[in-house]
Amino acid sequence: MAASASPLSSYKSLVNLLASTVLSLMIIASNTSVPVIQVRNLVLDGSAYLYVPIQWIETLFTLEHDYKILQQNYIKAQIELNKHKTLVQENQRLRNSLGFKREKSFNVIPANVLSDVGSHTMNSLTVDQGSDDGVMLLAGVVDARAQLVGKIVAVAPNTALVQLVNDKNFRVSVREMRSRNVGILSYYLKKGYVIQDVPKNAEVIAGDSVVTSGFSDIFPEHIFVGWVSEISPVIEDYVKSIQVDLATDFNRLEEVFILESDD
Amino acid sequence: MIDIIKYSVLGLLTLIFQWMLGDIFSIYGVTPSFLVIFIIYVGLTHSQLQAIWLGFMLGFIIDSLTGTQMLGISALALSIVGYLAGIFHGRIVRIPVIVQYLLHTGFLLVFFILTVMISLQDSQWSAGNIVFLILLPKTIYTLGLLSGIFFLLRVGSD
Repeated sequence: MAASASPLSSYKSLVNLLASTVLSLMIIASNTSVPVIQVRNLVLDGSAYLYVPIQWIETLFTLEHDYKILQQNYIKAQIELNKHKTLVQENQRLRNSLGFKREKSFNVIPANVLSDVGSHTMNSLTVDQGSDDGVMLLAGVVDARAQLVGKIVAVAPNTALVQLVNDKNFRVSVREMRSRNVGILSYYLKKGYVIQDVPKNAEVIAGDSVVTSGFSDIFPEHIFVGWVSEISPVIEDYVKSIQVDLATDFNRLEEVFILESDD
Repeated sequence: MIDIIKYSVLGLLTLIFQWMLGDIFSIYGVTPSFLVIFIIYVGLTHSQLQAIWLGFMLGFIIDSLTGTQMLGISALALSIVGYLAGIFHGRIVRIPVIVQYLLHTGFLLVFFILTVMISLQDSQWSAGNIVFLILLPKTIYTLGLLSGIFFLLRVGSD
């Protein structure tokens, strides 16, 4: 075995450590600068090449099964759509007569999930659509059932990175459908997903639906988030918190839809 | 030169393994880091300089892939771990096994303190919860895997 390191090599190592530390700190300090974003995008795009063949093979095996499910869902959706068309027209007519401003409309960009990463830093997934396909930073992302998935946090020309709603740092403005109360949904240790500061007299029961409030530019209104699972006791006599079970099954995400604002 | 290429390719394979299959090893949300095991291995058995720069590059790539909000933090943590492990390059076999375990634990703690604590500093979690429910379980889990891998590779034994 080699003897202990000579003073010269130890000095050389220290210089190298110092150089790598300075470089790392520079990268940390310039996270949003163009060169760093470009390098990050390059890595993201490069990673897509690894996943595309794997995903292609996976798709071959599930194609027929997926097609049957899609057909069934399509017919169900058509029936629902016909019902809703009548209601939307009626609603629009009434809104117009009351002078309401036009609601924001969104287009969707379908995208395949290339990889999902549950690291200690962020729960995220990579999709195969990027800025070349019209994907914008902070665009909302939903699944095939229009349930909340997350938001775009990095965009490369051919890929994009989605921060998932189950990430510990994710927050979204939501509305509880029965009481119509609005709050911020975020993750709390031991409690799970919680809407804080709901008025104590708000009528909420387990099983109620929770949807996005539409108060941000990221998500339109009425994207399904999940169900109320538990209501905490009233704290300090004026507010309570609501625990929510997320609807999206993150383990089975294969395709997602990126919301693109029409404005 | 061949060694540099060999360890770079091995590092990239470890990174791909961590990125694509890391979740398979998740127990109650606790995922081990194979990258830090690899960097410690390079530092202890091969070269301190390579451990520093491989740590930097692999850390940067994994940060880019996972979309962490503090790009570069894993690069910093892994290069520091590479340096620390490299200090014991060539000497590790002369160190008693129990001290070797303590050293490994120290390396892992340095890595996880830098990455976990900083990435969760803005979260709703208290410092105590981060330490006892994430930092320590991750360290212990990764240490278990590291011990198994190092035993198989006979790292630290004559």
